[in-house]
Amino acid sequence: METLNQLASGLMQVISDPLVLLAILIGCFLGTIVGMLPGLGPSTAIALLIPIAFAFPAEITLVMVIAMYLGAEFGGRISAILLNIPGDISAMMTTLEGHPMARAGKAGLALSMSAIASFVGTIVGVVGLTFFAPWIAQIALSLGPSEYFAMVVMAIVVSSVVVSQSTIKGIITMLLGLALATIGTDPQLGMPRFTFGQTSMISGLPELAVIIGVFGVGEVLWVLASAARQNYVVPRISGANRSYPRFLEMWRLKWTMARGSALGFVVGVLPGTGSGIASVLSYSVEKRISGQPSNFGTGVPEGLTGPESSNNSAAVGSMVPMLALGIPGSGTAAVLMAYLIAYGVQPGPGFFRSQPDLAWIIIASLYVSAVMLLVLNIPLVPVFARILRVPVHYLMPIILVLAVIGGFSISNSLFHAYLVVIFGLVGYGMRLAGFSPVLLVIGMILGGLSESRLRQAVVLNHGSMLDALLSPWGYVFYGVAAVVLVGDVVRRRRMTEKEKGIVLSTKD
Amino acid sequence: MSEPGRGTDAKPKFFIDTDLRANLVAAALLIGVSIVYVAESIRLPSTGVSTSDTGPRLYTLTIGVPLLLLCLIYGGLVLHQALTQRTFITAIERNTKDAASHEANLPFWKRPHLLAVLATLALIAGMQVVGFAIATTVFLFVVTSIVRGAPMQWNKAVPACLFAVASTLIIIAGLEYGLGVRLPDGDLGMGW
Repeated sequence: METLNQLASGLMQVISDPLVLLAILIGCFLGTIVGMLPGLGPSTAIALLIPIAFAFPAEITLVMVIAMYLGAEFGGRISAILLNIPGDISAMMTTLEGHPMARAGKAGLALSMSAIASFVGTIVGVVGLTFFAPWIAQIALSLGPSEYFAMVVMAIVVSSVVVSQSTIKGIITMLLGLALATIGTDPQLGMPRFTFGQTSMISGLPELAVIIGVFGVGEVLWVLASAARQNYVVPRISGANRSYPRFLEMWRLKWTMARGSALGFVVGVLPGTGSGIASVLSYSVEKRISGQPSNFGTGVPEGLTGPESSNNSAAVGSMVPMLALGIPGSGTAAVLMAYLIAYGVQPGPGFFRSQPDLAWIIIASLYVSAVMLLVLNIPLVPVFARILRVPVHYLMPIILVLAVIGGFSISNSLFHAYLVVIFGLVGYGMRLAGFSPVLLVIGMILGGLSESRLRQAVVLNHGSMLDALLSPWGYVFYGVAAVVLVGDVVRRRRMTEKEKGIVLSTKD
Repeated sequence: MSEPGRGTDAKPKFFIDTDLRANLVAAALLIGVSIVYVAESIRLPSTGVSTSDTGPRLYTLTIGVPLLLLCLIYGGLVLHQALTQRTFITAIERNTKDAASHEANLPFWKRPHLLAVLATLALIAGMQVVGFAIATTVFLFVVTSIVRGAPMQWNKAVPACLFAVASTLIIIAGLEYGLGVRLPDGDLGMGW
């Protein structure tokens, strides 16, 4: 009951403030636009908002950023359906059924159906967040520094295994992120470390500069370097065909959307999994339980609406560990967390107690954003389709300028703009060598938390590292990490043997 | 049994594919970075505020040592792969294979992403001197022309020029005047 009262209070604050509503509207619109551009995902969308964000107070910026996050998740499906190129990885499965529908002259219908499914997924995810996040935060308050550090280790291992194609690369990237977070000043002794005598490094590497670099500049470089910079042929949304689904058509898909949303939320809550995995799982489930699995790939509505509701629900689900534990569940959640930290807000178990108003405004803004996105996405589809026709050679230079302004805005210093370019190159290089920039950012965000908890634990255990690491809950978290790691090694070995078997049988 | 590429007219060359090359470079860089990180960590004090062994070194070594070990393992794996899976293919095949991924066959001055990086660095340096407006206009014109190709053709240069001027004015109007975001003025004090 208390949860509902707090939610109602948050909703009242959001609805009654025209500036907040305007911020949500702008966030939804910009998010949808950036999200639908091939190669540019929600993280890029949010990273590019940084110069605009610093012009507003915290609650306005945060609701705008969150609206942008949801908007980008909504937007990813537009290019997937119209161009057969997902705006981001979570819209990957949408291409399989959405594009065949577009080719069959049902582009408007596919876009409307997927918008409704995305709305359902988002709402289910937000309801889950409303009830689970405060509950998990309450439990996490009872964890000591040893247990908390063990939980961070578990998050690092699980994220590395799930996000990265190679576990060793995943863990290296995470550790590198943690190492980057130590640059600057020692939090206890106040002495400089890893600054190499540079005074500009004493305050550390700003997370936002790294984020704009790897997600903004890095993505642009990747698009410019690949064939993706070719301009696309965007199909026209014909007025001759029906653009909106009938009520009964959507009602028939209710269980598909319910399954996708529930699955997506559970997957999203797990660290590092993200919405890409959720949509793949949902598509496989729908195909498996379908009476006619052979029809999949030809424009089956179940294959479109299931993954769409799933990836949107997962996007919201990944905010649960971020808000309740201070551990980002995905790259975009890490970017959101960096925003919160930049405004002096520390998400984690104490967040709902120390800043309940802000916490509930954030959750309430998710509900309002979901409604606004549905209202925007259905009638404005032809407008978004026209934006997709903007040539890449005009778009990419603008993104680079915005990234530079973003770096400059962090502290009105061009030094941070240079950092943005350097980390853009780092992000591009990482993608080239198969490392995940997402893990670098998650590692960097977790750096401060893991250091403070480990050092607190060692102090509480009179300088004994072993005692600091071992605790009853610690065994559970390290155990989960070990099981995930061993399971992954076994799975990869089996896959390699299978591939070898296929090669041998082909040779025979 | 002949190696890949043998038997064709073109002269075969030693070849490591783009991905493996990128991994070799990454491994070398990572090993170097992690060695520096561990060496710097060792120089940090071990004594903390209240108890010994809780100083800054504790945490940085806790992540630095596993990082170095994993980087060495990764480096070893990549090197092993490079030595065992190296292939001999023709220059034509190499060009086709590389072009499919990252246009590695193009000379430096024809790779738009590398030129974009240089242009962005020049943009920041330009902002420091002449301010946002001029630096951004020039940057947008140059990068648009690079990405589009054929900058010397007037029918492509004129739209790029108009786009550069209009976009700069829109950004200034929206950010500086609309939202009050400060943009770099430049040392010459030419405004914005």
